[in-house]
Formats: sequence, C-alpha cells, structure tokens
Amino acid sequence: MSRMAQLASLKSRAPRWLLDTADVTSRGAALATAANRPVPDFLIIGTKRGGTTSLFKYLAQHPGVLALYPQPRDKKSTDYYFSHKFNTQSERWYRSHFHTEAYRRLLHSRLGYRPLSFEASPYYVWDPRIAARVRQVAPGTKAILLVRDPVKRAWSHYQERVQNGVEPLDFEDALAAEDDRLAGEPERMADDPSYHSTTWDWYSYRRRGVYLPQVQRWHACFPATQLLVLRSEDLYRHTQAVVDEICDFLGLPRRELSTTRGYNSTLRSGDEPPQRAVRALREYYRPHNAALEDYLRMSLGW
Amino acid sequence: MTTLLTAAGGTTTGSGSEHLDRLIHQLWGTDLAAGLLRIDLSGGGRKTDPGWEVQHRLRVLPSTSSPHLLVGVGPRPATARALTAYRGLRSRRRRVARVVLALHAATRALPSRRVLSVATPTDRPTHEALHSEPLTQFAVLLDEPSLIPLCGVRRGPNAKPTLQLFTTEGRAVGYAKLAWNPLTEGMVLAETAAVRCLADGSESSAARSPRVLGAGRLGNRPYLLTEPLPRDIVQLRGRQAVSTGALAGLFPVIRRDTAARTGQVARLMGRLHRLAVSGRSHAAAEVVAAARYLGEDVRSATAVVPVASRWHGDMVPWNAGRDRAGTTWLWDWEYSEPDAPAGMDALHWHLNAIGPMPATGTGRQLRDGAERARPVLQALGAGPQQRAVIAAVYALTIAERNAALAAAQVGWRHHELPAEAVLDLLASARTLLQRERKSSAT
Repeated sequence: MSRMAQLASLKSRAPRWLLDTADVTSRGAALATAANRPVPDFLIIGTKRGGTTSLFKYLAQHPGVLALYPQPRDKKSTDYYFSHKFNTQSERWYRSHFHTEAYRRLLHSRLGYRPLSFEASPYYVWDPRIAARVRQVAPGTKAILLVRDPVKRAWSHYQERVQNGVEPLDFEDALAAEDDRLAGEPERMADDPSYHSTTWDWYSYRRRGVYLPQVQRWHACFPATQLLVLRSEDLYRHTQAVVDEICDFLGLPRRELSTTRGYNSTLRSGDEPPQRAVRALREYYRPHNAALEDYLRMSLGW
Repeated sequence: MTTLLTAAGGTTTGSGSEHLDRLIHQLWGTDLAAGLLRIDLSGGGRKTDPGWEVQHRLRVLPSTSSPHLLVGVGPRPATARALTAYRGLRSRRRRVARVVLALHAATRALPSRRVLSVATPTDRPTHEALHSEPLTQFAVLLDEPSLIPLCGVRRGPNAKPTLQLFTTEGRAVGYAKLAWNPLTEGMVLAETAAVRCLADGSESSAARSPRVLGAGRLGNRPYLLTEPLPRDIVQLRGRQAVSTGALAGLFPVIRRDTAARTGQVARLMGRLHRLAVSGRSHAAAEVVAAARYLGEDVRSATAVVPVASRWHGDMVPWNAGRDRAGTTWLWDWEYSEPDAPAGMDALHWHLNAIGPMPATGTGRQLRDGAERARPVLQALGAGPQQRAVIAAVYALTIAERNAALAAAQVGWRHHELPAEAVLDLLASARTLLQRERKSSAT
C-alpha cells in the first residue's frame, strides 16, 4: 500500500473530532508559514467534464508533483480565483495551500530536480476574469487545458448537473433555455468583480464547448509557451503518452503511471444523448471547431 | 357553568373571547343552531345539565379570555406526548411553552380551569346528533375509539379549524381541516384536489405531501383529513430553501408559453374580473384596480416563460419541513393551482423566508426576493424578461388573494398585509416589468 493510500485509510477510520483538530492545526500552521510557500507552478484550468479530475490524479502520482497542502485532504482546488474568494481571501491564504520552500528543497535534494506544485479547477478557463487574476498573482504559472469533443462534453456536463439535482429540464429544453439562463451573467460578472455566477458554471452546456475564446483569453495574459492545450480523447486513449507530454512541458522527468483508470465519470455516463440534440450541436460547433483547429494548428477530430 | 350556545331557543352568552367564539361557531355552529349539540364551558366539564350527555371535552389553553389552543382531554401521558409532538416545527419559545404544558399534563391537571364540553341531547339518538360532529367523525374515519385533538385558535382572515389528531396513546394519526364559509370552502376543496393530484403520481422522491386519508363533507362543510407528518420532521428555517431538484421533481416544467396562456393566469384574471364586478370588493377597490392595470401588462407580455405542472401557492418555511431521511414535506396546499408560470414558489419562499412579508416596504421586498430567487428561476429556464413577468404574475396573485380576503371580510381588518403594502408590491412589479421591457428593446 502506498503512503497516500495508508494515509487515506487512516483518515477514513479517524473520528470526526480528530480530523477537525488536525484540519485546524494544519491550516493554522500553513497560514503561519505562508510567506515561505510559493504560488503553484502550474494549473489545470479545464475543461469541465474533459478529464481534469483524472489528469489531476495521474499527475499527483508523480513523485515530483505536489498537490495541495496538506496532501491527505486530497483537495483538487483552492478555488482561489473564483470571484467570491479572490475578493475576500488574501494571497497569503492562497499560498498557505501549497508546500513550503523548505520542503521543496528537501525533496529537490532527494529527487535531483525541483518538485512542482499545482491545483486543478475547470472553472478557471471559463470565467473570463480569471486569466488576468492568475497573471496578477502568479505570472510564471503554466497552464494545461484539456479540450474534449464539445458535444460529448455538453452531454456529460448536463448528466452531472442532473446527478447533482440542480437540472430540472431535459437536455433539449436545457439547451433551448441556455441563452435565457445565461442572459445578463457576463455583464454582471464584468460589472461586479466579487460576483461568482453558479449559473454561468452550471448551465453553460453549449457555450462552454466553444473553446477558442477561452484559449485566446489565456493567451492574452500569458505567452503561448505557458499554455498546453491537449485533447481529452488523447488523455482517455493514450494516457501515458499524454502524461509524458505534460511532463516534458513542465520540465519533469517522465514517469510510468501506476494506474490509468478514469476518475469522476458521472453515474449516468452510459446514457446516450438525444440524437436530434446531438445533430444540432454538431452543426453549431462545426465552425467553432474549425476556427480552433486553425488557431491551434492541430487536428481535433470532432 | 357558562352556556355559550344551546339548542334552538337557548341563550348565547359568549366565551369572553371573540376568537374562541368564532372557532366554536366554525366547528359546531350548524349543529348548535339545529339543536343537535350544546357547548359548555365549565370548571371541569364532566357534568352537564340533565337531558345532555357529554361526548367530547377539550381544555382551553391558556385561558378562555386569551385562548390559543384547545387540547382534548385524554390520558395524561398521551396528552403530554401529543403536546410535545413536532418539536422540530416550532420556534424555541414555543417548544419551551409546549414542554411546560406537557409537564403539567403528565404530572397534574393542565393550568386552564376551563374545559369546553360538547354534549348531545339525551332525547335524540346519539349517532344522529353526532352525524356531522367533526371530532366524532374523524375518529370514525381513522377507526379509533376516541382521539386527542389539538386545535389552534387562529386569528387570520382566512382562519379555519385545523386539528392535529392523536390516539389515546399519543400517536399522531391525522391532520384535519374544516371549511366553514364559502371562502374557506374553496380553500379546502382546492387543497383536497391538489393533494389528490400529487398522490396520483407526480410526487418526487425528494419532496412530497401528506396523503389524503379522507375528504368529503360534514353536514354541508368540506373537510380534508390527511396522514400525519413524520414525527422527526424539522422546519426549513430562514433562507434554507426547498431545493431546485425537489421543486422541479414535484412540479416539472411541462412547456414554455406566454404567461397569459397559462391556466393559472387565466383563472387569476377571471377572479380579478369577478372581484371588480361583484360589488363586494368596495374595500379592495383600489387594489383590484391596480392589479387589473398590471394584469393588462402581463396579458400583453410576449416573453415565453417556463410553465410548471403546478405551483404550491404558499411555499413558506412554516409550510415545509424535512424529515431525517432527507425528504422535503410540504403542506397547506390551499392556494395550489395547476399550469402556472414556473418559479413563483421560489419567489414566495424568498419573500417570506425570514418571516411573513412585512407590512411596509413590500416593493423592495419583491425586488430583493426576486434577486434571491434568481438562481432557481434561471435553473427553471427563465431569463431576465421572463423573471420580470413571473414576478408580475406573482405580485398579481398575492394582490388578488388579499383583495378576495378583504372583500369577503368587508375590509382589511385582521390583514397581515395592508392595502398599502399590496399596492407597493404591484407598483414594484410593474416597474420591474417595464424596466426589462425597455432593456430588451434596446
């Protein structure tokens, strides 16, 4: 059993009061040493339902990659760049979630290379204000964006919302209602830096599959060398090869994965989307996909 | 012994409380007038005049001059259990009061020395005299030899007798509601239809209503008897709303249409029209006129809104609770209607989440409530224009509801929402609607 698995097993058996005490203690210690904790080296920024959880788990297996501190909490993201947090939490708070420079130096001496820290949130590429926030806090941060066939992404996103009990409409009605649901949200987000729109996150089934503006927004804030765009389908089918490519991008030695199983698929992933909606979405995305292929100079195969 | 009402030709002296008098009239008025019953208020209530036999005894708490609760006289432990049932639905203050009462009930006589007794004449067959007597008939319906009823003394303009019914072991077995005039008759019939309709299959696993155990008429008064709520139910407090999933599970969005073409709005306009022409609405004339003005705006609104199979009509924290298994329970379906613009329940909830709507500032309350309900309305598929229309329909509905009560009671006395507050609500809804129209036109 790995050290992380042993910790997870121990955690599952620990009483609530002990976990709470450990949580308060570790958070207090992290905040007290935040000045010695660098911001993350890279982010997984999306796309939602594009394999970000799986990629997070694969990268967290790498000995030179540090997930959020403390690691037994197994958290994927701080959500720091979300509007309500970015405007209420300090950068010190953000830094407190990553490992200390001292620990990194220790690991560096063991590994022979500097370990990297990261977090993953598929909302980061979707909120139009976040790229600029990341540049403000961590201009050297690299980002990885997975893009998935937008039709499959939309369906998976919808399935997840249904599973979470917040989607009262059927898929075709939800797509028909999308413009109404999202109407006014971009303007409101632009007007109010502290406004976090769950509607923009939850019900953007179709719009979120138009990736080009999202990529361009990131490129407007960071050099192209700091963003790696990959196809989710490649991650699903050729997991090791994609993780190797990411290691090259991050300057880490390649490492064989102990598991390549998928994570965070919806319970309803076996369901098929209504074919009429699929046809309409394919038609809708055709020019957007073509523009993205042109821009990235890569074949997407959708 | 104080006789309130005797058989035909008897005297009426009153209980000392207008509210208790009204409740007695609502529960037994017809049978009293027909000489089938006699109500006595006495120190013990066991004995009555020769020629009368006591059938039921209820303690009036805390006193007859300031009555809040009638509690059936029964075995002490059972009465104590009945008084402390549904703790999760009461405020801390009321929980404490109930515990004090229960302690009294369990250990010695309850504090009130007044016992209300319901007696039948010995010269008539008992079954004939009790043919439409609610306590007797509810026991028959529930197949219980006798019941311990708990009946609140309500004061609102739409007050009607409601009875929590317990066995003589203190187990909750039902909840009954009884109409007594045309206004409350409509409410009880509407609730019966709504609850029956929900039981026909549209209930979701996340939310449900107590099922109908019996419905019909006692004499000429409609009644509804439903199953009791789970004993472990806890009120949803403050802004802890009924979830979107639970709402949509109960009332799915069935189509999209203009508000004017929904059944709810059509019926609402009809009721407003009847109020305007009935001549009974003198007290509510200004409200009815303003409502009809806004009604024209709603009628001409072209925004296509999501339409739900039904709306609850009065979804507020004190009509909703959640049991330990996580199921949301909703009750009080008197204002429920089918085919309604989706999202009005969310609006109503958020306007009342921190207590009943205030008597002033209702316009601002509508704007704030609409903002708090916005995520739910968006989930239902409503954009800014649709949300403005739904808020207008909601304001119209509340206005009509209050105007109808005012017309029936000939005035706004006893009203929780004064006429000025209703007018403010309507004006605010109109402003929202016009603002959205302008912004969509540009």
